[in-house]
Amino acid sequence: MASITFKNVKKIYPGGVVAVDDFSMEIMDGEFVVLVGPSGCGKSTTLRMIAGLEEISDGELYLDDRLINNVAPKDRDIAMVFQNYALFPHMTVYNNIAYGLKLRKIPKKIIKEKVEEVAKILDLSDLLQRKPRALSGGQRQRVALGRAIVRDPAVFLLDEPLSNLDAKLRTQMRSEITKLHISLGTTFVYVTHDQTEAMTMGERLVVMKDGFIQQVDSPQNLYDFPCNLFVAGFIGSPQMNTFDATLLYRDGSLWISFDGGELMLPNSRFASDTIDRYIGKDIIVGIRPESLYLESEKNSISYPGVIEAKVELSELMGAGVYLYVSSGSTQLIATLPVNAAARPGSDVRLAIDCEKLYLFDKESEERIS
Amino acid sequence: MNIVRNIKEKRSKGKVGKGSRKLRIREKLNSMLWLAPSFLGVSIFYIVPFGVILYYSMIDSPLRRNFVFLDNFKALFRNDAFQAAAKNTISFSVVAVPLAVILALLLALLLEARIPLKSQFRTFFLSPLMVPVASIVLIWRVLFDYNGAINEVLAYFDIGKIDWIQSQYNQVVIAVLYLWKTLGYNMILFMAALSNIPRELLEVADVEGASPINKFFSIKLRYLSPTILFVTILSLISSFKVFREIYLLTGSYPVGRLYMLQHFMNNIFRNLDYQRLASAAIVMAVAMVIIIAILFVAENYFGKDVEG
Repeated sequence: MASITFKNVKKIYPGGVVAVDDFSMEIMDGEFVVLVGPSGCGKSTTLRMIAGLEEISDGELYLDDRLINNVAPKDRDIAMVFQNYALFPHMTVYNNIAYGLKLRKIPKKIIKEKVEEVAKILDLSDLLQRKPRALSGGQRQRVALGRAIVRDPAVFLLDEPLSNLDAKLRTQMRSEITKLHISLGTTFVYVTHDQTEAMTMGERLVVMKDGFIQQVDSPQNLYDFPCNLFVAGFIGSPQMNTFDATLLYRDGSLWISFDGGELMLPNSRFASDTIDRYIGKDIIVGIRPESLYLESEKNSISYPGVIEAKVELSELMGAGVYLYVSSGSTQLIATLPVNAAARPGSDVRLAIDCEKLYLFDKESEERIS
Repeated sequence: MNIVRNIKEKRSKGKVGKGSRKLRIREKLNSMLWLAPSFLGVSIFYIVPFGVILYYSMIDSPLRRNFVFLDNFKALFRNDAFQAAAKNTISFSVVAVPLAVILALLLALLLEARIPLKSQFRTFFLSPLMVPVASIVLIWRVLFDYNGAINEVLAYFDIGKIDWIQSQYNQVVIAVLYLWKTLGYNMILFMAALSNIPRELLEVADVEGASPINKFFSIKLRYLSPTILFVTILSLISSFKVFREIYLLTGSYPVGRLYMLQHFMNNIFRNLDYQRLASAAIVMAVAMVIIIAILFVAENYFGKDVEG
């Protein structure tokens, strides 16, 4: 078990491409941290720097108190699970799992005990003599996990380990990995581009974009208090609705005016000097799909604002419906109960929970409130 | 092609009834027709000549044409010139071919690592491929002649002149020439194979704590085995071809250890000794088939899990 500390870590690839820039954070001992972001954001590079598979161009990386910038991967006491499993095709499951132990010249008897124990945990006991090609995707991934945990490493690194699995298996493995983390209590660093995986598995999420950390926080905090438009859009499914609007001050209240209507902002949440500076200016407004309701339910919200909209499409999801509507030129998605399903072209009146609106600076895209 | 597709569709739907046999014959004829041109080519240039050679190897003379079965082979194996040629060819190939494979692999591994002047080295090793044999021989003559460059250098160190081509070292000289000519190409083949090894596997090995030697034997060698087979066969074939260089250096009857099987065959061809030529060719073909079969079996066993 170990903590990982980044101090202004930077990675520049030959040719001058900056993959990771000014990366500073501390990953606690035993924590499950998820690095999440779109492809090319530098999350895998960061993970590979922890593993020692990429050189660190600048900054310092510590494992506990040990500076590991120039320590070889094998001396870092880490284990890594790759996206495509990276099992040795010519070795049996047993030999794949035992590979690291054999290299460490551990007595055969102990290796056997350990491999069998791990196989039991991962439900691989019957497959030990098989070769990887005779395994399904899920089984292969479990072997890869087995090879990682059998050595009791201080840190686990997982690089998109579930993205080659089908949707059902992915959900199942997600919970298995979470359980594994709880039972092992070791530090896990997990890379994914899938925000659902990140939200469900991570104790803390690191949202990255273009090599920079955007925000580091717990999943719920990221969802409730995104620091900028990118994080707001990346976390949550369906994506947060965003549209251009102008901030107005009228009759003692703040209003937003957009192509599709006007909404009054509750003073309880939207009164601050920072917001006042934006009065009369163009801003970006965000609202999560689940903060939109049918007008008939507006009494359940404390600060409803009603807009008129035209239904463009409704997607039935079983438990609910995604309603794609347009109000003026503003496009919105609302997650509503099944009875809200409506024909394209029909008119609908929606109530917006104005307390749940997010305001962003149009230039910097930082959140104002 | 449409007919074939239609039949296949019908078959998969289980609708093929009484006419199915007719259709199947038609399908077979169809595929034979497509194969005919290339089969014709292979027949004319390979299969028929091989049959003719086989026939010649079992008759007493092209004129009398009495069938003598294995007599020609018996005579061949008793022939002193054949024995010497076979011995020389085997002793050359047994040493030179493994060297050509192993040295090329070592070079490829070396050039895979981060070393300065990498691309210059690559070009350096590849350049002999572009030089015609005749001009190589010219250079070799200058180097290894009794009054050549190497003897001049040796004289500088007070070592007496050696008549390289006539001496006991002559096979070594030819082996060096052969290696110089084949290493570059083999190396490129190995470099391509090395770059095809899945990078993640090597990274896993790094993380798990494998040393470079361990990585080579437990992972790389497995992935290289098809290429090793291919390179070995190529090198074996080109090791038989050193005849060209030796012939250009020394003529039809070189001294002792440079007298190869091709010299033997070339000389009996000139004497129009068809039976002996045919039986020698058959013996060589059989030997090649056996060697290649052994290599294939070994490769199949060694590389079966890493392919596909």
